[in-house]
Amino acid sequence: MEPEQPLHTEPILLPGYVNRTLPSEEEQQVANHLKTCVTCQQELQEVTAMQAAIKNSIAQRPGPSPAAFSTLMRRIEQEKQAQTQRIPQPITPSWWETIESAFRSLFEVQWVPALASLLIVGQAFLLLSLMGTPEGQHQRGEPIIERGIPQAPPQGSAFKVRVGFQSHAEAQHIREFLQTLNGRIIDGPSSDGTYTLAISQQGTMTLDTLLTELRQQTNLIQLAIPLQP
Amino acid sequence: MDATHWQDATDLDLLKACVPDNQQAFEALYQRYEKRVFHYLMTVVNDATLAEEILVEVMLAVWKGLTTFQGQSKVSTWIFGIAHHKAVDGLRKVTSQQRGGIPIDDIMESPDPKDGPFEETNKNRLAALTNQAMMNLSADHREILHMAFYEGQSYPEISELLGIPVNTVKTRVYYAKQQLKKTLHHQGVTEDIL
Repeated sequence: MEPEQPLHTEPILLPGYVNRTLPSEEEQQVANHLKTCVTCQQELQEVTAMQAAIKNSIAQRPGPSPAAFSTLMRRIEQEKQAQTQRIPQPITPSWWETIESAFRSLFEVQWVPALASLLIVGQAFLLLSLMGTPEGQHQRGEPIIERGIPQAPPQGSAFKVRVGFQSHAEAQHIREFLQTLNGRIIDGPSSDGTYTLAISQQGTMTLDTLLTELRQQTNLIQLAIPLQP
Repeated sequence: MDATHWQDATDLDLLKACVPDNQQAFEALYQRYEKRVFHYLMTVVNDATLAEEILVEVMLAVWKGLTTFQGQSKVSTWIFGIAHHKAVDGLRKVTSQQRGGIPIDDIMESPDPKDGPFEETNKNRLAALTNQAMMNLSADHREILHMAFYEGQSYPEISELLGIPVNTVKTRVYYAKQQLKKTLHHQGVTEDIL
């Protein structure tokens, strides 16, 4: 059965009045009321006695065991470790990741125009090197200056000879012959249809022996004239 | 510097001293509150083992919340607010698991039923009877009597930590007190003995 409602509000405030936590206005209100209300005076005695009994009963309870603090500190340590593990550690990139990262950075937007230009220039060089002499003076359709015939100047001391090839000579035969001499076409054709050869000096080869050998190739070479180095 | 160094510090100063990770200050804070919180938990859950387990949880939550405490309420209100929530959780688990703990009556000196309460008027006997009577109340009534009469907290403080209106606190304290009086009467304890 629920207790009866008090007839006035002061009994409800009495616990607060006893532990002196009421605001000053309410405290004054209760104090004034107690001067004249016998019921509330009895209630005050009751509340005071009950508070003392409760305080005394709870105060006699034992405290927690020391093990509680040890458990708490262990839990805190575990929590600290868990927090440390939750913090993302800085990852040292491997050598491959470093290279990949640098390579990827090249494809960032600000480098795109530069890369595109480089690509175009590179393609142009590649095309030129595949199609003929660096000077680009050959003519398409000419049997001599075509892709695959050695064009680079030979290393070391070389004889330079101007030659005119037979009109019926095939490029394959000219290429094979020049390879046996370790020679290269370095210029031509000129306005008169001749080419300039650079032929590496090998062994006891002299300019005369070279010219003789060239002129003996009548099926390939029409004329061979030495040039001043 | 040991825990006694903080003896005269206010709760707030002590709390601030705990950050960052001052173990001595936190130990002092623990020592200051361990009994109060433990007794409160015993009142609510009526189980010493469970109360100790919850005490650890409460103080762990305090440790975690050291850096986030805003200082808008009293430190004690904050800590007892945490204890209240943990105790409610603990009670819920006990209700669902029906665990067998150690009730407060078992660790207090119980009155012998052969002795009438009138023959035993010393403080210890009365304390044991009051405890018995308290444990016959509902958890809500036990809790609010503990807060108002033992902790001496004001109605607004109790309102804040329990999350209920101040007027509800006032009437609940009143009804809890009436219920305790009735239970004590059933045990033969009358006003003149109190």
